[in-house]
Amino acid sequence: MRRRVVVTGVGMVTPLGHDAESTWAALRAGRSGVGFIEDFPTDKLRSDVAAMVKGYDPRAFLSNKEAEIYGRVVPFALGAAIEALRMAGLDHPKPEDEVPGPGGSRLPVDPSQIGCLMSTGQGAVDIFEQQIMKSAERGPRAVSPFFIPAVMLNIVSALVSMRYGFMGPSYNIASACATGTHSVATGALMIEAGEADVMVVGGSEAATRLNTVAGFGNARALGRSVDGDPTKTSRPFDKKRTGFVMGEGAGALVLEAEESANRRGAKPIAVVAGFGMTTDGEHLTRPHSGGVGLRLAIERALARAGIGPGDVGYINPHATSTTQGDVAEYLALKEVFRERLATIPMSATKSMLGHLLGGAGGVEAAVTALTLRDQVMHPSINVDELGDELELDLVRTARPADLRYALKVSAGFGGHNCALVLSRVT
Amino acid sequence: MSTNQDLLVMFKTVAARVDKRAFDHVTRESVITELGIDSLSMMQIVGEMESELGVMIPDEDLVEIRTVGDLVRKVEARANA
Repeated sequence: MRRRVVVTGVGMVTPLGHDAESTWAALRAGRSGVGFIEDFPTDKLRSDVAAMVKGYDPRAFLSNKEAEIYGRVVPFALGAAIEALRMAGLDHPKPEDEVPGPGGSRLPVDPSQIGCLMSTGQGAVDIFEQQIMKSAERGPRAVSPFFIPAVMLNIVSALVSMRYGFMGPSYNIASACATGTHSVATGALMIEAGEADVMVVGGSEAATRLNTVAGFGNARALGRSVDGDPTKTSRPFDKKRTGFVMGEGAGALVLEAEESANRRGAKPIAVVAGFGMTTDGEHLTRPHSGGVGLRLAIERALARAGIGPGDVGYINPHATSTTQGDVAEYLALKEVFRERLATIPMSATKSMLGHLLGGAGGVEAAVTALTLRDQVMHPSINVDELGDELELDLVRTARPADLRYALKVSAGFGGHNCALVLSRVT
Repeated sequence: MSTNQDLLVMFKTVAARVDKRAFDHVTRESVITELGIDSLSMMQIVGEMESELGVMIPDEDLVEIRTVGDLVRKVEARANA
C-alpha cells in the first residue's frame, strides 16, 4: 500500500500579500492584485498591466550581498518556503558552524529524509538582462562570477537545502506554467515511493520584464487594461477575456508522509490524494484543441485517488483568461464531469493574482489546501458574462462549502499537464 | 602610475562594494580567506579592479595569492607594465 501524503504547511508571497494568510484573506474578499506596469515603459508593448509583489524586502532572509547577486525570484521563493516550514514546525535553520549529516536532533525529521522541489519556470531573468548588459558595456571580464549560480533554475532548491541542512532529493522542475503543480505531484510521488519523508515543494516566478512582456505579448497571449482599469484584465471564462496578466510571487507547501506527521504531532491541513501528469505531444504553445492531454491528467489523478468524477466537489482550474486556453480546459473538464460540470463550484485564482507562471501551481495548490482547511471557496472576479457555450458554476462571492475532494489543474507551454486531487483531513 | 598604497585603498573600496560590508581594518598582511571572502567573491573583486584599471590580470597571477598584499603586488605589476 502506498504511503499517504499530507500537507503540513503552506507559504505564499504574492501580489496580494507577503504571506499565505493575508493572500488568502484578500482572495476571499475578491481583491485584485493587478495594476499598471510601472517599472518600464509600455507604450510599445502589447500589454500594460501586471500583478507585482509590492514592498517585499529581499533582505528578510538574505544578506546585502546575496540580495544583490540573486534575482528577484529568490527572496519570493525563500519567503514562501520558510513560511511553509514554519507552519509545519520545521523552521530550524542550520547553525553556520554545523556540518550537515544524516540523523542529528536539531530537526524533528532526519535531514536526509527531507527534500526540496521549490521550482521556477524562468528563473532570474532580471540577472540575465543585467549581466548581458554589463558584458555589452564593459566586456565579458566584467560578468559576475555569481552569474551562473544566480541564474541556474535550481538555485532556490539549493538555497533552501543549504539553509536547513536538508540532504534528501532536491532539484528544479520546469514545465512552464505547470511548474509549481508538477513540483507538488513529483514531491508527493517521492514520498509515496519512500525517497523522502518530507518534501518542500512549490513554484516561484519573478519574470515581468520589458522583454518577457514583449515576448508573451508578441505571441498574443497577454491582455490589456479594460476601459483604463487594470483590475478588469484577468477574466477567466468571461466572454470578453483577451489574454492573461503576468504575475510574480511564490507558493510553497510542505508535503509529509502521514506517519511522519503523526509521529511528531504535526497537524495536516489537507491530503494529497492523487495526481496525474501527461503531455499533449502536439504543439509548443497552443493547448490541444479538445483538451485531451489535460483530460487524461485529470483521469489519472482521480484514478490514483481511488475516486470517480462524482466525488469531486470543487475545482481550482488553470483558467488563465486566454481565449483558447480556457476553452480547451473547459472541454477537458466537460469530458470528465459531463453535465455535472455546470454544478461543481470553481474559482479562478488568476482572476485576482494574474498568472504567476512557474509560481502559479504552487500558490494555487496552497490555496486549494486552504480551501479544504477552512471549507470556504474564494470568488472568481470579472465574470460578467460566461463565454459562449461555457456552462460553469463560477463562485462570485466567497461561499462556505462542505468539501471532501478538490481538483487542481495546470497546463503549461510545451503541452505539459498536471492535475492534483487534494482532500480534506478526515 | 598606480602605487601600492592606492591599490590597497582600491581593494578595500571594491571589496566593500562587492561584499556589501566594511573592510576598513584590512592591511597588506590580511589573509584573504580569513576576511571571509570566498573564491567567487575574490574573482568578482579581481574583475572589478581589472575593469577600473583597464588591465587584465592573467589567471597564473592568481595562483598562490594568500594575502591582500600578494594580490596588490600582482595587480601593481600588471598596471605598471
